[in-house]
Amino acid sequence: MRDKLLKLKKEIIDQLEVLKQKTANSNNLELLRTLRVKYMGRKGELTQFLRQLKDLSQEAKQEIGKLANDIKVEVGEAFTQVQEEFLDDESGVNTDVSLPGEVSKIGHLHPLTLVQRELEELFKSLGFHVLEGPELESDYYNFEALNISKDHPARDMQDTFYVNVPGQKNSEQNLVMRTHTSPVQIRAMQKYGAPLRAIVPGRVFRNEAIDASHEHTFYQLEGLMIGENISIANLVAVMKEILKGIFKEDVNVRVRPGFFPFVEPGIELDIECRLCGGKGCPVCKQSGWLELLPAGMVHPKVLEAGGIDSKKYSGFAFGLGLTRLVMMKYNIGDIRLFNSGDLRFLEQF
Amino acid sequence: MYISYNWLQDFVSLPKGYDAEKLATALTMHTVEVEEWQSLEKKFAQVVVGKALEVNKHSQADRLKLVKVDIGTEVLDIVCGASNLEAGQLVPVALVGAELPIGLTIEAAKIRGEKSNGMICALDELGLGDDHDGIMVLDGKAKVGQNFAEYLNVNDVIIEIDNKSLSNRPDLWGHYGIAREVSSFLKTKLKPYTDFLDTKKWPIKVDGKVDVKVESAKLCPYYSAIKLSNIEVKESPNWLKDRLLAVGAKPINNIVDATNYIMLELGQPLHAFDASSVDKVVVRKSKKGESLETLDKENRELPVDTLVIANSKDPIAVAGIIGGQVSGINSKTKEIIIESANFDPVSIRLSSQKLGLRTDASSRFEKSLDPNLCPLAMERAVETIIKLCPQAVVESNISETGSLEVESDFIVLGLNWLNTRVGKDLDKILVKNILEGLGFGVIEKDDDTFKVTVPSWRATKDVSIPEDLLEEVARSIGYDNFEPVLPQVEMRAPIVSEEYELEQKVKDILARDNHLVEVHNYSFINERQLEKLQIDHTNHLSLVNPLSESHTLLRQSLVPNLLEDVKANQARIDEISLFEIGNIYLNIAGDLYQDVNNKATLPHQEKRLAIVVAGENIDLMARIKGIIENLLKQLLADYQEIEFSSKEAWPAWVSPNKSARLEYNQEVLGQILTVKDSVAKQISLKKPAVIAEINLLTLFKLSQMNLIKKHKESPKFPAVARDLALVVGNKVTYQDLKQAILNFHEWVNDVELFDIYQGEKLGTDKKSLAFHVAYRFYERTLTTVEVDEVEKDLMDYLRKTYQAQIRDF
Repeated sequence: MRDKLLKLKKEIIDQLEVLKQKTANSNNLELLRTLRVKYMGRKGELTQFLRQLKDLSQEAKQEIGKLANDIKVEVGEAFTQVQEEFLDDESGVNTDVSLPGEVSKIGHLHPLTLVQRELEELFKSLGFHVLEGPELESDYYNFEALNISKDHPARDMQDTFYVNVPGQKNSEQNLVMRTHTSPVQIRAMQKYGAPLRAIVPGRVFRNEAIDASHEHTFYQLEGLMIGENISIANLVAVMKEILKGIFKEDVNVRVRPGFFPFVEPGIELDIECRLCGGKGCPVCKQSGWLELLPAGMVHPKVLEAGGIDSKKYSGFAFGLGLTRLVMMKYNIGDIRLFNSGDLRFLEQF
Repeated sequence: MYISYNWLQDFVSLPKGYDAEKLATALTMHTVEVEEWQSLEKKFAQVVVGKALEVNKHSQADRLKLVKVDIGTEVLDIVCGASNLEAGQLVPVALVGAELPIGLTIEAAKIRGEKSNGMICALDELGLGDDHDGIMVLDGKAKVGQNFAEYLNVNDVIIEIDNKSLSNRPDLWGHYGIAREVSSFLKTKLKPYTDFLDTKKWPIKVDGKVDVKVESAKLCPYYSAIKLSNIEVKESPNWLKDRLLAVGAKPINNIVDATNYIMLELGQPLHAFDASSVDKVVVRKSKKGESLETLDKENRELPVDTLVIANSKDPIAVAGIIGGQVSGINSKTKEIIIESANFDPVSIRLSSQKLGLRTDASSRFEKSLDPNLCPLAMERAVETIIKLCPQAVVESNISETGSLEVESDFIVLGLNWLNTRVGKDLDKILVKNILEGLGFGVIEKDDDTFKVTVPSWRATKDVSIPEDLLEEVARSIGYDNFEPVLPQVEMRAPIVSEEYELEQKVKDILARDNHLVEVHNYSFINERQLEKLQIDHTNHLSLVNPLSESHTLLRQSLVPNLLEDVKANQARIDEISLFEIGNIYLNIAGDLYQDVNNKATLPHQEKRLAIVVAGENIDLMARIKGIIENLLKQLLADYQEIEFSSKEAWPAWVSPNKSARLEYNQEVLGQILTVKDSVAKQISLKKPAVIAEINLLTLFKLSQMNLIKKHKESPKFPAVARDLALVVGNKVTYQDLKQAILNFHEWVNDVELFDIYQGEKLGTDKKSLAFHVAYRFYERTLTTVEVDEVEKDLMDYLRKTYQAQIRDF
């Protein structure tokens, strides 16, 4: 009796398995129902079998009754489970998963903001403050304090926007749209003293006719580090560290002399051309190198203008062309797009 | 500046196996930036000598000519615009496919309907200087079909140096100065310049001195002149022309070429006068009304106080910049006066600026030349001219005025200091050798100290402090040869500018949560833009030297340019939502000082935030208010309601009925402004637009007062919700009504507007506002009866105060 019961159970479970293995088919539910009637229906094989139990002796009933009941429950659950699986499959049949999703609006930050933030995070992690300064500056902070003498060519009208105050004569031109972020070096030194580590991202202005690669308004990121015994070897090491942070890998660089009045000595740091890997291409003018980081040791006159003892402290400063870096990163060919307000451009970022 | 590889070797011998590429790299790494280097052969690969056979008029264009050019293998049709082109001339022809040094690629083209297979070149088009005075006409030695480089007869490589990187180095504006640098980093000997001079061989017939009077000694520290006679002005010999052409100078005649040659060699500009118009030489400032026809055939009015060279009456040259036509060397010149002088760099720069004229001479003088170059250049000039005109006679001694002295103190260089600053222990002997190799005098004062004297050619401008010497040593060794060392610093958390952090937060909330697009606009606007918005522009700060009419004034609001952004996109996009954070510049005193005297301050500048939403079929006011409320809720820890009031004197371009002032805790935060329809039409704004402008500093102050979020316990007892539909007069604002309900009783916990209705049923001067009102007591659950009672009192109060009615339909 017991063997027969177990055999019947195995038969049912096996048949359910066979049914499950079959490929999805709208007929499956029908087959399942037939199977259920065959075994579990009023005249079904299992039902019939269970009915026979009442004819058994009290002892035999006790022995086999529980098993029979467990099997009935177990088989019933198996049927239900298979049925649910079939129903799940069936409900998915008519969904076109390639249909578009519901549009969820997104806003956009300006590409300059995005890259500026990346750099700020990098510098903050190295202990630099992020500082700002006035865009409309005085002649003193923009030039004189930075060791740019009265007759320096950088002060030419063709390089600098001078600003007129209503009611004042042009000859009293003390105000300029800052031509670099460097005046903030002086303001920062005056405010915070030494030691100091700071970066200054910001908008700068040059009196330069606009075309695809020239703008009168663009962004720089200035950096400054002042401490005791800061050396050229420190400068180069920090620059390399920063480039590694920007490009997420070691970058080949070369350091050569450069001239800027507010540093002595001044250097130019070139990186190996990212496009050709140093072989030479139109982007790097066949040289294999891209000019990226003008830098240098802060000129003692500049330190003094910032109220810092140049005998005790030394430091370095560097400038990154933020706009140019953004153009490089996103492959933007026309600098005029930045201030165009053109959504076709802005919505790409 | 162009440097010829061959020319350099007159002064320094380059090691075997050395080439232009190595030289270019070494110069870049130690001295100045080399932009490019190229062999002449390669530079002119597709340029040949051609002969103009026929020159005919172009039927479609007066200025163009149709030319048949024989290039040996064939006859080409070329359209040319040069006025000096004549049949029979030998000319350089760039063939189709040629890539000219200036970046131009020659293609077969049709110009006004006529075929053109090539280009006849001017000097500048060949990258030989900046002369664009017609096409280059070649001399008799040219052969038809010959490669142009072969014609130039130079197996040379030309190195182009970036002039900007030379701006602080007056000593590098000629081949000799570059040779000195090369000898320094190659550690080879530099040939003394005096080796090229031998005044004893001069054919002298001294019978006087040139009469020189320097009236402005300050602007002309040194002046020398000499007179030569029996001069024959003619074409220069090939060796001279070849050298000039190789470095981009146009040959003119033997005398002018000689002076140019020496300038390119030594860096000292010279000038040759036709002596017949020079009875005496007066160096003085120009007087009012004086003018001069300069060598470029322009008649120029001379600004008062321009330094000039004059004869007893009139100016004959602008000192250090350009000569005058009247005293220019011409084919009839028999006697010449050569000038070798030193001029004040600032004066030269200002004059050249005022005249709008930069020349090879002026760009050298304005760098602060060493006056000691003058005698060397003078002697070299006389010798060269005698070589070119062997029959020439020296008519006078060199007459000299002024001094050759260059003020310069010795510099004390501490070796310990040097090592610390470069970050490497340097060998003392190495340092000494480097400095001496560059012409410095080095005396050992003690174990740690050098006393260094600066050579005159470095003392005029660029070397005066120990840091300058540090640069000499460091660049000679090569910056790449210093092992990078990361600095050891105290571990300090960076100071964070909270204002700046807030700005970043605002950007994120607007872009990320409110789907706005961030724009950047120029800091500048123009008068017309403001006039159309009926904004007074007389009080705006302005650019003294604007580039264009569109950018003349400094903005005092972000609004005008933001409206332009809407216009830029309105044709393509239905709904436009933008924001900008940027500076405005006001004509009132700010709080940052202009200098260390702490007297004058800079004009006030502040950051503003502006938001614009534009589009049809959307409730713009609701949208922009939603954005602002969302922003404040995220920034202010204990956000209360922002107040929108319409009491304000609005600007003329604003529609007063659709504008509001933003107030929070009695602080005015900004405004919401709707552009008037008539103004929109005026500025071609095609979509309704609403703009909010917010003062970021005020926002910052508010956020500082509202920094700390305090957790509030969730209520233990449920609220009873009632709806209240009121009919009130049109002038009663939602805000007043809401506050009235909210403040009526402590149990009134929350008031939310859910419906507004205006319609005929109510009458035109009425509106209906419907609120969900939540009643809640924190100690227990309220009963219906209790709520009914408060609600009744509330209604009585509203009826009395606002003449409100229950809406019962």
